Parts: sequence; structure tokens; C-alpha cells
Amino acid sequence: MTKNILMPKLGLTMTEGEIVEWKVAAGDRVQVGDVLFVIETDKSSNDVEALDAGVIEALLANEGDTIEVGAVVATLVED
Amino acid sequence: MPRQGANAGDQLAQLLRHYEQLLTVRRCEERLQRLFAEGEVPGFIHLSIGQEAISVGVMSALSDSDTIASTHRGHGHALAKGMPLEGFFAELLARDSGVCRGRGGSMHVADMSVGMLGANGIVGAGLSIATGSALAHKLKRSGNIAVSFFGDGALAEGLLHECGNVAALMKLPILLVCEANGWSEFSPADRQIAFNLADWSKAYGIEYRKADGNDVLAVAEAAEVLIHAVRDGEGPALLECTTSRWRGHFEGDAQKYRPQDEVQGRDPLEVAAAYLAREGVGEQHLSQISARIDAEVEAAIAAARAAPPANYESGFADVYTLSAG
Repeated sequence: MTKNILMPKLGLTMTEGEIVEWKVAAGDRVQVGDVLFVIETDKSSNDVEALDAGVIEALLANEGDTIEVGAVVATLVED
Repeated sequence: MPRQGANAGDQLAQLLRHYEQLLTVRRCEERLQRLFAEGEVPGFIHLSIGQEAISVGVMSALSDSDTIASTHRGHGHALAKGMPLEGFFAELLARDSGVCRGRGGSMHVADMSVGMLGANGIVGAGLSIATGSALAHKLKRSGNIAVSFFGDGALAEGLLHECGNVAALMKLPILLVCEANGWSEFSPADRQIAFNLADWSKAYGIEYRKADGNDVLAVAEAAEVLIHAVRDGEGPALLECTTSRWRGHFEGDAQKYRPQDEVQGRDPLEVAAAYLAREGVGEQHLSQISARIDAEVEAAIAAARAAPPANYESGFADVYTLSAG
């Protein structure tokens, strides 16, 4: 099953985040807890971890893009 | 529920209830972690994953009409006190069917029908709420007691000292429960707190016990002894439970202040499962429990998602007065 990977809400006031770095590429296999990407918000930078295990299908945002909370940034085919 | 004199069957049944409650709190919070990350939970949440045995152990020694005041990390307190799953999730997802009609959210869940006086966002504020409730119990001669939960971060708050004083002075029926996870938000507790609770209790003449907060039976047994004395009119008591906060201070906290190699406490679920294994309850039985709880949690989330959102028009419906000033 394909799952959407979203820009997470990290903290009370976050509305958007910048993708600073992708730690995975399409085709990579990930486990729950693996770091997928690094984001920077108005307050801090954070690692975003995988919530599901599977294979990354596609990255839908580029490094440097600022994305709204809840928007899809990648897709993953669940194991 | 007193264990003294209970037979082996009762003890096993109680242990199973403990395990089910621990797992219910864990599953609810794991689901909340994800629901929050995916933007379905408005506001802000603090998870008590790793600390569940304190809620479950203390609550097992309380009756429905005893009262508790919770903290910002209050999901375990609410659920272990008996708040229904549907009303809980509906509240967290800001639905009109929530226990507070979706107006409170995570940090203000309350349910008077089960004696849950509320979570709140002010560190240590539950202490004065529970002290007031204990005074009410005493004046009404209800035979009930009040419990205040607080973290070690609250030890530097003035309210602890004010409430300790007045509770001891008036011999109020209150149990103070410190969930000592070693962190005051983002700072190690030992860099914030100049005293220990054993000495502090002596200063106020308050009965003190310490328990392994990751061991539900250790918590339940210590709570039961203290609560028995509190209920008998011997004045306040304090139970310090050492535990470990597995997640950040809040969801989204990257915990860059925390050493990577910090030793995590024992998992309360594994501790309880080991007790059950000793009684002959195997993996298969536990996985049946787990499947049932997962189904209950998913059903509660589905019901919350289907419910109408909190209604702004009814926002003034339950206030004391509508007059200004």
C-alpha cells in the first residue's frame, strides 16, 4: 500500500517547514525510526523519522522548498 | 482495590487489568503521536510513554469517587481513571462529542463523572486543585481522597510548598504523587532542584514512600498502603515514583539537550508481562489482549473522526455567567 509522507507539525506554532536535506532517495528501503529528511522551522531544525517501514517511491519536494504542515513531501510503498 | 486477603485468582485478574490498562495508555499515545505528526490533533501534546505504570498503579487503589488532578502529561491519568476512549479521542481531535465538547484538548481533558478534575498546562497547578478537592472531601466527610500528580519539574514551584503546608496543617485526605522522570522540561532535574522529597516530607510531617515507577505492582502496593492511611484521616502522604520519559518534553521536541546514551528505564509493559508470565499467562494471551485493545482504540478514533467538530457557537454554554466585567 502506498502511504503519503507528510510535512509534520512539530510543536504548537509550526505552520510550515523548509526541507534542508533529504536523507533518503527513491528506491531506498527504510525502517520505522529511520531519518527521512531534515527540516528547519522558525524555531529549530529537526530530523523527521519514518512512521512506517517500506520502500521510498518518490520524493515530491526539493531541498530548499518550504512546505505547509500536512502537505505530502514523499510517498512510500509499505512492506 | 485491596489485595490483602485476595486469593490467587483475584491477583491474576488484577494483574491482567493492570496490563490491559498499561497497554491501552501506550497504544492511545502511540496513535496520538502519529495523529499529531499528521496534523489531526490541534494544539499541543505531551506524551507519557514510559511512565504508564504510575497512572495505572495509583488508580488501581482508588475508587470512582476519589478525585485526581493531572498535569500537562495527563493522558495516562485520564484513561486509567476511567475516561472512556471515545470521549477521550473526540476531545483530543476537538470534536463536539469530546469529554469537554472539544474545547479543552489534550491539556484540559477533564471528566467529573470519573473524578478526573482535569489536566492543565501550568506546571504544579494540579497540586492546588487537588488540595481544594481534598478539603471538600474532608468537609463533606465523603470518605474519598484526592490525588495530585506532578513531575519533578514541579518541585521548584511555590504551590508544592504552599499545598504541602496547608494539607499537613489541616490533615487533608490527599496523596501527592511525584512522577520523577529526571527532567524539568529541557533541563536535568538535578540542575533545578535543591532538595529531595524524602527530606521535604519530613519537614512537613508528611508520610513518604518511594517506588519503582516502571513496576506497576510496586506502585500499586505503595499507593495502597499510603492511601489506606490517608483515607483513615492520618493526613497527607507522598509517593515518589522514579521513571523515564521516553519522548520529548512535547511532541516535536528534538531533544538535542539530552545525551544520546541516557539509560532508558525498564519498559513498564515488559515488567508487567514478566509478572504475568510467572503466573502462566503466555505470549498468545497477551497478543489477544493487544489485538482487542488495538481494535477498541481504532474504533474510538474512527468515531471521533466521524463526529462533528467542536461548536464555537456553544462556547459560552457552560460558563458561570455571561455578564461582562
